[in-house]
Amino acid sequence: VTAALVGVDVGGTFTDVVAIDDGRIVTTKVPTNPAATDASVLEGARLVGAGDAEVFNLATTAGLNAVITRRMPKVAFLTTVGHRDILDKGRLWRPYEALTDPSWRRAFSDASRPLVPRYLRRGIHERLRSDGAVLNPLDEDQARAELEVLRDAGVQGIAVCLLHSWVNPIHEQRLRELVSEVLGDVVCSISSDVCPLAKEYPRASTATIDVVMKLIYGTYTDRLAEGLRAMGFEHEFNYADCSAMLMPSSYAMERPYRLVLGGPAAGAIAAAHFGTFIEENNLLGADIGGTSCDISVVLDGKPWMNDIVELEWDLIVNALSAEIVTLGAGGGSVVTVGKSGELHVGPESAGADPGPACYGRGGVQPTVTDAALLMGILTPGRFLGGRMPLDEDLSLRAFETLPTSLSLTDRIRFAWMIGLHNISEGLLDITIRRGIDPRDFSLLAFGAAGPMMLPMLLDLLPMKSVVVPPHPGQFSAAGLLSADRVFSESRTLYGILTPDLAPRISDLLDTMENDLIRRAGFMDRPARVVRTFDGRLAGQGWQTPFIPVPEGELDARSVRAMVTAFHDEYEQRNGNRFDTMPVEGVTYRVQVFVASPKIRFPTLASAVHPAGDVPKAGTTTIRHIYDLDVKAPCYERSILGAQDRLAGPAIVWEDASTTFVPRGRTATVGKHAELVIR
Amino acid sequence: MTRASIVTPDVTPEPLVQRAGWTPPPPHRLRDLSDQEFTDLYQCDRFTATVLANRFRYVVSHMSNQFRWHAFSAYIRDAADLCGTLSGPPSLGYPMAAVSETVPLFYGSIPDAIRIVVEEYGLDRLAPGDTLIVNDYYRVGTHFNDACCIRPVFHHGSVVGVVSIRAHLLDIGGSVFGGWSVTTRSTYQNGLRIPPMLLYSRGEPVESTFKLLFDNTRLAELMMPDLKTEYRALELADRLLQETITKYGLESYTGAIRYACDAADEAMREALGALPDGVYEGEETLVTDGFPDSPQYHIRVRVTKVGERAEFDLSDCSPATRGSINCSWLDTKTAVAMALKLLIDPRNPMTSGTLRSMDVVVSPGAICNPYPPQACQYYYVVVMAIVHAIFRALNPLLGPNAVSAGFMGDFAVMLDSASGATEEYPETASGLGGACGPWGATRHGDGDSGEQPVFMNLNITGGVEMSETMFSEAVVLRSEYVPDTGGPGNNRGGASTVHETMARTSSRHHPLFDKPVGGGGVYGGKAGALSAATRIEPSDANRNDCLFYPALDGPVTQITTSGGGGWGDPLERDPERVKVDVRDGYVSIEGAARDYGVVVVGDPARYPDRLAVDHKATRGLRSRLASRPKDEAGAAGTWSESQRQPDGLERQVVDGTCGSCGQDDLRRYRVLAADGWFEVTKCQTCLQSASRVPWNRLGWITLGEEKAL
Repeated sequence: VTAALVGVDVGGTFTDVVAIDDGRIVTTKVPTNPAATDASVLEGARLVGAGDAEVFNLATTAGLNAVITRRMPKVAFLTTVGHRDILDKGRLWRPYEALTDPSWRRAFSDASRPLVPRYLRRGIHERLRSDGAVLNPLDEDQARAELEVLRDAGVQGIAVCLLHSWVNPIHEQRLRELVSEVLGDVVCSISSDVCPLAKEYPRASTATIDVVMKLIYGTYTDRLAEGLRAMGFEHEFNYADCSAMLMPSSYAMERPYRLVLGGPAAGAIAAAHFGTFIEENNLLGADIGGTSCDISVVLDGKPWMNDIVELEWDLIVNALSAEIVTLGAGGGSVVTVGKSGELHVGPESAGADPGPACYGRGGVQPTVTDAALLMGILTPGRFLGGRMPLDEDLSLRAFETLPTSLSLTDRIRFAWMIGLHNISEGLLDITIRRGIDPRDFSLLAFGAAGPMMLPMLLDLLPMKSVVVPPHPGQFSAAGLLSADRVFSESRTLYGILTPDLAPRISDLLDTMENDLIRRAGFMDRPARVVRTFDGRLAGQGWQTPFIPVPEGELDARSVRAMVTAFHDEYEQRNGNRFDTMPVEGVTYRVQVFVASPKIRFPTLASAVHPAGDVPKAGTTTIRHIYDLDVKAPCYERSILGAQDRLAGPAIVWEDASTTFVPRGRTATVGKHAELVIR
Repeated sequence: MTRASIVTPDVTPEPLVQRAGWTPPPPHRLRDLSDQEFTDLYQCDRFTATVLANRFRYVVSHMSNQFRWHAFSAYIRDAADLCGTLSGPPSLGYPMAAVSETVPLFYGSIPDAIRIVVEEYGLDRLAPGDTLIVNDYYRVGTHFNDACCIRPVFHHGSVVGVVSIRAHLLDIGGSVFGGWSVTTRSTYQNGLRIPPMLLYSRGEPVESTFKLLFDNTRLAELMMPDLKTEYRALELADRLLQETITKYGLESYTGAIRYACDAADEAMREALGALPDGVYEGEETLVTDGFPDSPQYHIRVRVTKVGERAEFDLSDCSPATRGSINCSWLDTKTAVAMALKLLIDPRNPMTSGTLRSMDVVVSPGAICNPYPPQACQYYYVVVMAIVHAIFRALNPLLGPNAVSAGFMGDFAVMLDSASGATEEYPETASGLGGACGPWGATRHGDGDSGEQPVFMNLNITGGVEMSETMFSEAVVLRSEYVPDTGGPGNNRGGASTVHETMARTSSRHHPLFDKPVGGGGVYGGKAGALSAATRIEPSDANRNDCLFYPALDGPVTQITTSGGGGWGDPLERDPERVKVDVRDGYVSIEGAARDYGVVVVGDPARYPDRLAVDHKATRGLRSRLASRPKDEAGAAGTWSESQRQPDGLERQVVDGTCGSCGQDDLRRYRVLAADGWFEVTKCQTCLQSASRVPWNRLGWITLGEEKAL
């Protein structure tokens, strides 16, 4: 086997592999070895013959898992004296369920599980003012003494975030020299280099995550490169960052905090890319696996971006990301009975182990998957291509044990519908926050459980259609073959946008752009440069991100264009326009894109089946959700041709997923094998 | 207790009179109802009721998010200083069925606020698209900065619900920019007091109202976009509710509103029922009102608990302060609800059903029930004192489930009366960093050291850099935890935070400590450290070396918050956990020995991770400490019987016997209940009411119009 393009997405349970060989899409999955995920990557690579590939792209959650489980290297944090507890406090807020709960604790505070214990968070005698002027000079003797304490404590890495260092990095840079003087070649990240943006908590958190990622991904990258070389792979492999954009591994290692959340964003990129094939510019992507439903938004063909990633409650990183909203609603979401006798679905999940009751691995609580089995949507012998037998009796027993007087039918129907209502409200919330109307959007349903659950949402939320792409089970991994390589940089510069600011903005952007192009060294390759800024109305404390900046040297006219572009974007996002208010620039960003080969979804031959006469592979009975039991035909997805139409209720089988076409709905097969349910 | 001499003539118990829509709690637990019983009670099946109760919370959440994410000011957009609610129709008495995931302090007063505002404005005068604005704390609670926008939801011509958003406006006039000074003495100095007024009439902005607002704020340019966005958010909620009613029917909708409130009521009653019956007392003291020679102010609560009913008698509290540290009766109710949620029902959604099983008694003119024009800008100081008094009263009953107290927004800002200037934003105040302090310990673990008061939930995104970028004259020199300040315990309370702010210009604002008392320990745990505030001049020879700075170019305000209380016997804390606390600077070597009886050896400053516990010495020390007499820390607060019995509060004896327990212990008095003010005739033995007659809408408060007309 050989492949030209290979994408590997390392998840918690499985490592998904998507490869393109001669225009053909090949997918496979191998179990993830949590102790050595790089071994799983190499095994997947071997299976698709990655040795001969042109491109090898990787998304991995190894870094995220280390942070979430706190199985981390020993790192220290240095900051301005008097402020060592920045990392303990975060943004000081708590989630809905803890509003009146005095036993709540921040998951990363010293009272629970800190990333950096307090004795390794130390204050350095120095202080800058907000304009960068030195209020208190760096006390080098005191700094050396602190570093000696850390050296003797055996730290492996040091993150540095001094107050106002984004304005003036002088003390951080000197401190980095002192670190190497006292501790030798220990890994060190300074915040003015990692992400020179205002607001100390996110910057400190980002610098800390950067050090951790350097330690985790440093040798990991070496081992992978070595393994791939041994396989015959001759190029530099790419990592997917938090926005699922690709970065050559050596460049990624300069600021590896950007890799902390590589996987989920791939689904958003896949959705955007697939949208160009099916000519849908506005998509909601919903990726439903065992534990959660990950939702992304594609607007005008681009994934909705955010400038912050949240790893767990309030643990944030200043990384550009394709924004993913996670709802606790997956195939393994557990059905329970609340205090007043009401049913709940999720957010607890039976996960992969023990999994839903019907897996027969010891799970006794009913789940959404058990409901789907009892409803006849899933067929015992057909789950995961028949590799995973399902036991209906176990599902039945699990529902029967619920402490409620409801009939069996009501238990199953209510559980199913409450799960769907949760997703529907979550989707509506996402559209409201972004000021978009779901009626202008199609919902792309993928992940193993997406195609079975999401089509019924059409009854709850007005949307154009629900679209099931080809290979829905591995669709997210296809996103790794859907993006360009990108090199990016950002800097903060506060200032009202007036013509006299043009030279300073121009300088800042040019410096970043030249630096990116020089460092990446790809002047001979096709490149696209995107310059944007985050701005706000004078008096606001928050920014509207990604406002376009005109090309070339900036003058008074281009500053006016920036102001107009700001008002346009602000109006689109927020619904109000304040033309008379001055606009303040805050953060300036440059991204340099280098085209990378992408997946192409092959065109499907038109149907040979006369209307209403698609050959059935079986029949099932849909129970519990409709007034009466109804018979539903089952189809093999592989035999469907373009323009085939399937009237609901109907079931479509394929290897890693099952699609449910509800009663009253019709699925039409599109020219790229997508099922469009309306 | 001796009987008062007044005997009322009516001997037969009056029939139970309630406000419109009140229904007695169902005889069975909700979970035990059969499907038919459930449908008969709520006009919809259990599934529909569950879906709709969730739907209500989502509608409020959608509304709040629409406002928050599209608002103009950082207070709303970043910090989320707002609260959205959904209340039911007038026929049910406007029960609040859902609240948003924002500031808990805001929503306790909303059920009363909605009823008061709609009744005063006139239900008949409202039309679809109308939106009222009101900020008067004597009608809706909290302070003048928090404007409530209230929108009736019409369906086929009648009001079927009310949605509201309360949000903080940065400035609403008054004698001080932003409103922040405890020494403002009256409503007139606090700011513009807005009675219920139309902000939008049939979907169109009411120009005169907007002009009134703009002419009375120093920040009209911030207020305008925020109010516009707020209106859009209310419109969204209205539309979502219309869709819901169209889809599920009006009967199911109203049934589900009742269900949501009944479920919260039932959760609270079950939690109350699990406590032992009895009378419990607790007290909290405020040491100053900000003026020279301030008296101390006392918050005293007597909790009577019988079965699933309770009464919170706050009639023995001090009179209102001279300045702005007072809270209206609406927030006194919030405080009772908040304390109970925190102590015994932390995780169930709050609705107006939460307080149904209890009455609150307050005296007129008290710090927790002042009259106009007494000022209430710092209402939350009193709210937290009430919460803590209730903690002191009830914690001893809770055993291991007791919750030790923590930081409660310990200080207020005092305007330097000598300077006289009021038109500068209190930048020093903004730099004081007072948003954060510790929580107490619980059986679940140590308390966090960096938290907001439990009743707040703002998102503090910008931190020191943002504050100094906006107000460059105030430099935050220090904001970190202090060793040996968390209350010792098997689980330790969070540590105090010391905030030091240097002002380059001469500061006109001074911190003021209103409560010296640290979080009390529970279940054998000890109290946290006391709070303190001081001002250090650059010339001060004794200035604290902890400031780290060789030279100062302005006075430094130093504030140290109280420490959180501990939980459980500190002598039982695992010595290894004590060692980790020494390593991390939460406890000193001396503190480990003194407070925990743990002997830690090593050099925490130079070799923090090479510390060791001397187990033999620890055993000896612990047994010596254990044999010492126990101190009183953590005991319930009590006070001697007070002689003070303000007018209007005598519990008049009523002849007759209680229909429930048969005792002849009926009294008549005025109470604050879930549905507002009532004059009740109530058995003092079992707390069963023989009659409940709605009393004045605003209790003892007289409005300007009543004096004018």
